[in-house]
Amino acid sequence: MKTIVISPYSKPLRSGDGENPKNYPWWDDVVRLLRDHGFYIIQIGVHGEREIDFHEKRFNLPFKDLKETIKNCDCWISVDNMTQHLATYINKKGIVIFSKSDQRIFGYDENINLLKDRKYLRKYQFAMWEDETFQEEAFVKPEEIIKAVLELTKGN
Amino acid sequence: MGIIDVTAVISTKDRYFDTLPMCIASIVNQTYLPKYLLIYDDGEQIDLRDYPLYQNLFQHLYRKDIDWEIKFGDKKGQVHNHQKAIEDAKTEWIWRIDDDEIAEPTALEILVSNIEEGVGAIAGGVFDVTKTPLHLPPNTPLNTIDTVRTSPNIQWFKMKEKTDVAEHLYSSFLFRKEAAKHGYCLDLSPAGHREETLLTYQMKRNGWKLIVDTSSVTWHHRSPNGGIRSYEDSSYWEHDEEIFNKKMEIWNSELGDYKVIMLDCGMGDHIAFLMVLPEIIKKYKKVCLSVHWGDPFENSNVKLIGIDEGKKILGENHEKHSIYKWMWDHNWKGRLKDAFREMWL
Repeated sequence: MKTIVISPYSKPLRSGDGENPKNYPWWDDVVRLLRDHGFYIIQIGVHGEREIDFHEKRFNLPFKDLKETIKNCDCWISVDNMTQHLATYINKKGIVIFSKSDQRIFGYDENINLLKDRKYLRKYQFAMWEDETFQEEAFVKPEEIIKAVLELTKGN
Repeated sequence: MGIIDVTAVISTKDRYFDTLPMCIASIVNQTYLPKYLLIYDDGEQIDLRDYPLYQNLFQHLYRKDIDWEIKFGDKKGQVHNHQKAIEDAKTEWIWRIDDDEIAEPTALEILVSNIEEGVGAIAGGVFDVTKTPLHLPPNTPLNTIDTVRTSPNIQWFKMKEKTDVAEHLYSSFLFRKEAAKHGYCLDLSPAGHREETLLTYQMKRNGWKLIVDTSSVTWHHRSPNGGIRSYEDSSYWEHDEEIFNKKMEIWNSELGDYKVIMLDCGMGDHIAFLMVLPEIIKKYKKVCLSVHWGDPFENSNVKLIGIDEGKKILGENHEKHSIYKWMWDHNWKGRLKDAFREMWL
């Protein structure tokens, strides 16, 4: 059984109000489709985050364990959060779901960067996220993520 | 050496009809002309174009192809104006001159003639116009930092030969923007006591040569009004001396030889920084990171301190360590890790 590590959320907004615009809105659908394809799902993150329909959760991992978890999976998926930086640092290719942040700045060529359309990018890429609104339509559909996972895990 | 473009910079306060016009006139009459003149006005901020004296001076600048601009300062003192000048100047070399100083016609030409690789700044003699300049007494320390409080500044004397061993400069000098990347100490009071010492000593610490060539002459008119003499509160000087002492303490401490870099940003940014850390260590040798998370750097050969400690060491300058501010200011379009590379290498 192939293992997928999912890092579904970016850190909560400092205002404590509203959804972080980087957070993907259709994790339930993604997880359901991944399960249909027989993947074993591990959710990583921190205590208090909403839980997806995982097989296993590994929350608040020490840094070295987090590295090991990512290193040993078949594929990882994250939003634009620290996971993509860490995975790239340890040379583990994965999938990053972007919405309003620019993959050309915050992403890495080594990964599969899923950005629906550059028209959704925010004008001021370095401004506070608290000033930005959440926009569901800025994200790719679950099917595109599954397609990327299958492509990446093909032959693993 | 090709043509070196220079921006002359004056920070002024309420010396419009005192020494400022003489200072500008001395710039107009240089044998080596600056390309730009930036004046930062912290005074009443009147429109100088309304006055015939300045109308003529500005015409004169125009005739000499010196592109001039007067910017209203934030009235936070000359240090902030000088910092702004580093950000605003379009040339790599900046010649700072005080608003109560008058440069001899060859002052800039001589300073420029000393430009070479590895030179961060060049100062000339700054002589009190009320006194005959004396020759440098034998055995006078050549502007070493440990004698800054006890020995006279060599820029006050005529020297037979120039020196490249000075550890700090003062008042008027020509400097390379690249060498001043660390910026002025913005924690200083509006009086800006020790501001040049702090700026130039840090250049020296970063490996740049500081030259003093007193054949380049600037006369100090010591105007009794305006400029830093507008500030009568002695606590400003005490405050600045305290900051200077604190900086010296850090420089002389265990951390003194370290390049301190603050990462007041997210975990992902810490890891993006980690990707370029080997190059940073190669450049600076001893690196101290002020971080929110130490784990990513566990096996790196760096010293780690917390954010609060970093803020104490860097003072107000810690804001310059913000990668997001840097990317914003530089209209950055490249990768995050490359922004770190560009910022620190």
